[in-house]
Amino acid sequence: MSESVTAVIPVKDGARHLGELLAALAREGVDEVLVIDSGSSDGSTAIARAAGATVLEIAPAEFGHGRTRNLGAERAAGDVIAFLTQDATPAPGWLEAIREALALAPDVGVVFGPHLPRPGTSPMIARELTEFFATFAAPDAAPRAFGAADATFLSNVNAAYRRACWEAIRFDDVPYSEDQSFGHALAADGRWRKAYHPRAAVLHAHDYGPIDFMRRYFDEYRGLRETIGHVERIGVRSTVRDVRSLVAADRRYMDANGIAGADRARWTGRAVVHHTGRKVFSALGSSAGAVPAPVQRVLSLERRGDGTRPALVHQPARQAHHPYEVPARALRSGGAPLLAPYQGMADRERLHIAFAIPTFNIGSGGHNIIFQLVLRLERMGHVCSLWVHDLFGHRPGIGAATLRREIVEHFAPVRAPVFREFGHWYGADVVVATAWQTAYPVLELEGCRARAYLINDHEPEFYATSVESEWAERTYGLGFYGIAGSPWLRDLYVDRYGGRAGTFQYGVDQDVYFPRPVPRRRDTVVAYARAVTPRRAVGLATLALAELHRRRPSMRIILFGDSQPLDASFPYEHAGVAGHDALARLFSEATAGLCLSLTNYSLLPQEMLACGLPCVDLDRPSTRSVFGADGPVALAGFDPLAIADQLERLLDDEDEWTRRSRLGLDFVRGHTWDAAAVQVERELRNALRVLEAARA
Amino acid sequence: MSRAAVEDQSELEQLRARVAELERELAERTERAGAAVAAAQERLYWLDRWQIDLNRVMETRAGQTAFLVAKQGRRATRVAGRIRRRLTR
Repeated sequence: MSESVTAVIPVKDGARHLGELLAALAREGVDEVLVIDSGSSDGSTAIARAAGATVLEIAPAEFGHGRTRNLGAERAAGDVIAFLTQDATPAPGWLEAIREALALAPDVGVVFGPHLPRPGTSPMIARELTEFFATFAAPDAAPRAFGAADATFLSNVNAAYRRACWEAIRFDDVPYSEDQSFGHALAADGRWRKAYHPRAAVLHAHDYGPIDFMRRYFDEYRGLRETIGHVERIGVRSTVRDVRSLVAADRRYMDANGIAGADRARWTGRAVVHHTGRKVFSALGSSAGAVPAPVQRVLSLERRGDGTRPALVHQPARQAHHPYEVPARALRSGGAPLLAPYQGMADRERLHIAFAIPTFNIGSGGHNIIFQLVLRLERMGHVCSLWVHDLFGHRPGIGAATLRREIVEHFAPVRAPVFREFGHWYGADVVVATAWQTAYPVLELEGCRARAYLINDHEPEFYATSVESEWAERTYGLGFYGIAGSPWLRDLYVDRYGGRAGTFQYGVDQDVYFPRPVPRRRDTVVAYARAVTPRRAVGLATLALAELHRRRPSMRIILFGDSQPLDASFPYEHAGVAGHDALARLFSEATAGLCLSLTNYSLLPQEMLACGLPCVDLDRPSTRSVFGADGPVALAGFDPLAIADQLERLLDDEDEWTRRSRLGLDFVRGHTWDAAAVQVERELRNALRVLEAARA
Repeated sequence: MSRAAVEDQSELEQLRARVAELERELAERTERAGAAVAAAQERLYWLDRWQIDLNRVMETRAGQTAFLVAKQGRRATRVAGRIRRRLTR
């Protein structure tokens, strides 16, 4: 059974051709005719009713080319909705041709056909229509389907839509060119195609006087600017060239169609005016926003004078899922239940510990902490697995094998398998979230005995007030057992967020970071200046270094941590993103180090200390909780002069330098990754023990 | 302690021991499975790095041809080796 067809015709004062059009539709056998009248005063509604059409009357102000056609499609009962304008009369065989074109393929969603000139149409318009639609025709005059890469042209003067296609895309609510907008959206959507059938033709021509033609082009190009952003350019030479070529084409058409003598001369003059006016008024329409409203009203055939409205361009869905669906869902549902605890589960010799980690780049300090711990936990006999979650798709196409190799080669030679996302999740004794992005998917994982949260920093502070800062903060209320990277973080997790937590101390790889046998210079400050990490306060560090340079112009300054050299107000040497070995040499050679942290402390001060290099950091709760008020690291307030003072003291006061250097070497002696892993293991068992105790 | 209580206690101990044994087995199985996945990932590294799906490649005519050429080449090498061994025996 063939699909039913409804013809939808928006009408306003269309009595001239409406009777003929409705008769043609009856002849073609259309199942339903819906006329949407927006305030006709010429008897159009009576003509429509007399012809048996359903008439829907709307206020003139409610009319919109896209809006009204959507309304028509909603009211239509047909499987196929054919849109015609009030002056487009279907030629014999129109409906059969539409059905034939739709039958080309199930994904043909739209069929359009040619506009034939009515008798008496000016040769310019007649030629243009004939030549334009000839470009869509297949050589054998058969229907032809187009792909997404083809031209997006579509005309609602004469086009039929499969209902499902229209429902998937719908017309944009634009004042003009809703069909062009739909054509763009159709190509971008990719699920549907359009087809052209040369026999699905209508008699149609907009033949106006020369002035009205120009005003119509003004409206048309203003509409194109509003809907698809098209801007028509104009230039004197190009206009002359184009008009000459178009007039020549018109004259050839006249010759071919027997227009000769005085008629030919008259139409040639009209053609010159027509094409020149078109060029000028098209460009004016494109720039309507710059034309005063009263002038626009004069230039517009529609009498509209409100400039160009913002271009409303349809955008297809580009994501299968919103990245924040998981956080939203996990917060709503509260996550998956944990496996029932049993007595002794915390004290088993071997645990399966699954680490959920955000995607990473080589050199990431936070990831280095995780992988160093995984390596040691494996050495302690535990079974580990790594689950990489790429919430924002930062590293698309990177497979698990590549990620694993990067970990093994650039961080630590772990034995754990690596998985991208959680599709192959198989449960764990303890699953460990390691960043806020991973906490939400971890909450949804089943088959776990406990959930822990390796907290390396207070992540809400990474963001301005935003969705991200909120998501980050809310992870602290998910009930995970916290394993905090400093006493400050632990206190924050416990006191502010009401969580349970233990702490661990970051280690230093003392096989790499130790005082190298290089001469210690007395004039070198080495500073961490990775500007893309705001919490490292690079703006403050460089201000302090500028002050130091002002006081001691011969001072040697080395900046590292960023691949790009920084614009600074003092001269310096750029070390880029140095490897561990190069850094250890640099730290062994320098006189003082500078690394500032506004949130949790960085690994770098410890690595500097391990090379015997005293350093300066900010006096913050985190650094104070780790290094003490007057420990190995010289702490300074949030003041470039105070930081410069501390650096200068290390440069000038040899006793102070020696005291800090010794304190530093003593401090790092106990800060190994083996010790850190023992602390983390203790806290992982505590995470299980808390649940065991709760059950008891 | 009554005899029944002693029996209950003993059964509980046995059950705990059994749970511990099962947990140990599970940890070993998980470790073996993880090691197998990690080893496979090591072998697949370059294919993964270059984002080559060999199954898809082998569905193409070029893939099939390359496979046949490699197969014939291997066969020819084997035959040549056999001949060389016979000649040098």
